[in-house]
Amino acid sequence: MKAFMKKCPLVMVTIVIALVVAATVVVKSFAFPAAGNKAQETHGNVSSSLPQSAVSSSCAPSNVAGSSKTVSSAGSAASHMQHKPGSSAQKRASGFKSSGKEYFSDALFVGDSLTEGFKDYGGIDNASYFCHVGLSIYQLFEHPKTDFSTGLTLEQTLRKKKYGKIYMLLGINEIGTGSTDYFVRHYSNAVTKIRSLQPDAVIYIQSILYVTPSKASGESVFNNTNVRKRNSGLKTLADGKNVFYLNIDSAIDDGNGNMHEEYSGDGVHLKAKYYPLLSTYIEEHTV
Amino acid sequence: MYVCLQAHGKGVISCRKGCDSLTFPNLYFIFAFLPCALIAYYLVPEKYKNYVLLLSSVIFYGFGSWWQTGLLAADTIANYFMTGLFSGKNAKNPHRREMFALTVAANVALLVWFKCHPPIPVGISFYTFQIIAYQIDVYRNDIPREDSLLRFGTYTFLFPKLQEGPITRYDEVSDQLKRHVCQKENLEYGFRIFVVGLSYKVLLADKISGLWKQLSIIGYESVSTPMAWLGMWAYTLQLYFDFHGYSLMAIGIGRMFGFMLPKNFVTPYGSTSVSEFYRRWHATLGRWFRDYIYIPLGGSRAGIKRTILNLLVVWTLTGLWHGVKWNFVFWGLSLFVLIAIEKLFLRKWLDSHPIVGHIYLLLVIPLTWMLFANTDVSSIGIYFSRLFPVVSAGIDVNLCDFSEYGLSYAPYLLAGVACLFPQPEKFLLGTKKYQKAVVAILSVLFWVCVVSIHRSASNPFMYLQF
Repeated sequence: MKAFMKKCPLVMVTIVIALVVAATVVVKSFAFPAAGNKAQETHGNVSSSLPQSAVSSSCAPSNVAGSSKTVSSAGSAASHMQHKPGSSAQKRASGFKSSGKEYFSDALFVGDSLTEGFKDYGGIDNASYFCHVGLSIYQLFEHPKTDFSTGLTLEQTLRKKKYGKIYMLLGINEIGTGSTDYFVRHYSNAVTKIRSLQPDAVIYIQSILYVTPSKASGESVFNNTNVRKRNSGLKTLADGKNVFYLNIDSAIDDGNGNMHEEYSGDGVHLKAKYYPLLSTYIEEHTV
Repeated sequence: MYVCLQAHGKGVISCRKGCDSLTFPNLYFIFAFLPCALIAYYLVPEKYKNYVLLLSSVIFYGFGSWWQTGLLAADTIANYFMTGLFSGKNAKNPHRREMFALTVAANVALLVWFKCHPPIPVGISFYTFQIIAYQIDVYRNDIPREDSLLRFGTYTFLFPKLQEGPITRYDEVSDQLKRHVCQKENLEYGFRIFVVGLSYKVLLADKISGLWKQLSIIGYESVSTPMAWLGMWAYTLQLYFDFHGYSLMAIGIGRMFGFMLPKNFVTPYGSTSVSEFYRRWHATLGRWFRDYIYIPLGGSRAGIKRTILNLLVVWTLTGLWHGVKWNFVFWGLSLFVLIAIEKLFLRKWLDSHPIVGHIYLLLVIPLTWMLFANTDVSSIGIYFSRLFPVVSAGIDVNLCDFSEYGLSYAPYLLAGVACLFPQPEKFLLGTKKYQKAVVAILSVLFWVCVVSIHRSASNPFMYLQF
């Protein structure tokens, strides 16, 4: 044994550590055998206890709500005129209207790497951003992550300055975690929390972005059936007064409920040149 | 096959879509397969050791696909008997030459067929080249034919080198197949080499690969010119640490079983010319082409015109070996042009101006990698137009991408650059001094790798990616 230790120190050290690790894992799984299952159960229970506080049946803003809100600045009318008459008429029917880029000067965009890309390539430079690659809804307040450039958590960001609009784009990272109801409940909690920190802001919930057909094929997690399930849950969080649901997927839809194949290099993120599709959609859907 | 090698970047993660094959940087391999194989190999008596090796190699390959394993086994048996038809013992056979040509042609045909009809069995390019090398050596009477099917099968299947080489010659391994070496020193030293290779692969190549992926996420047409250059050099580092790391793991595992597999990478980026680079990069492939194609064609001894023609043949074939796609042909041809120019006049001048040589190499080789990395030819054009933005200014370019991604990848890139120099490897593997420190460093590296593999392999959606 001693001779072996002398001749094979690295092998010995590795074996000893591996045995210790293995022993720890075994002891842990014997001592707390149900640890994993418990977590599962919690996820399951959640589904039945969805709080109804922020949930409302109306998903798109009504005409009344849209017209009563006068958020737009002088320039917005001008830019409104530039849009195709047909499409803006449609927008009016759904309660949304077009605004110019000035609209976003007091807006905060909150999200994961998709928002990061939107910040870099969406062409909306006067807005504020809070993004963190890999961000999930559970990491806004419960296990807070910080923005890469400011170093602040979302709570700190929201306490620091007053925002007129808050755009949220989250949900693809956690698409495999928890049930749809569990996710929506946490999303709802996050909206409530943001509301308490920014009572006057309009909150826009952006739909989770579709993935491309090639990404979705053979995927049990990252597929558009899952995305749609969660999106229909998110829709219910809108109240038509100051929480609105934006179906940004319609800007990148290939007609079959997927992201256009050529819009993405990895099936999830938009290529830089396609981010303006999202900003145009958002500009055309303001209240 | 670097194509297969690039798949390794995703290898561990892609297991969630069904494991295509067992690879070295895989926790099942490291903690289950390898220890079991080693224990069995060291414990059984000498005459059974080849059985252990063959069986474990078949199991290793079988993880990928059983029909491929069956196919390879049948191919090995067929080659074993066909080699008998033209071995030294059959010297008087009037059809010896034809038999030999037919056998080699059959092997080449099989390889070409698979190259054109995916899925390509893992490692078939390496496997076929080793069999052809063996047959040519036997035909030339350089080595005797292997009489034992067990030994021959063990050689062709030998799992450390099965997937990605190094491409050996039979006489480099044959002695150890007859008299197995089971020494503690080999076990320890092999494991050390393995840990260094694993660290290259997991802690450098796999991390840096994120930067390269980012370029296609943004879309080449929207990448800023500094970012395009950064991405190109990042790929240059990634490919080296991926392939060199894999080769080191293979050599290390081979060593643990007592085999001395040949070196594949000798600090290639320290070369001062492309010709030198390819003697130090994937050296066993270059050696194969030199010994079995270039020199038989006359090498550089039959006049300059013939030399250039021979180089053209070798580099076109090298390109095709990596994949039957236009980009690999262009890649091979670009190397042919560079090496031909060097042969004509540039080499002499570069040799006397080593600093210029280094700069030249670190500009030219990464540019050729861009042909290699983009299997879609149209995207090559876009990429070059971003590297040299004379024609177009790109679409939706954000100039901050360079600082944004450069900054977040800086630690890995800097560590990568440091490991291009021979010193770190020499310190960890080539010195008898500071043994305690070496053991401590390697031990830490190993466990950091294990944690990193575990994090990326376990539940892909628990590990937040986007």
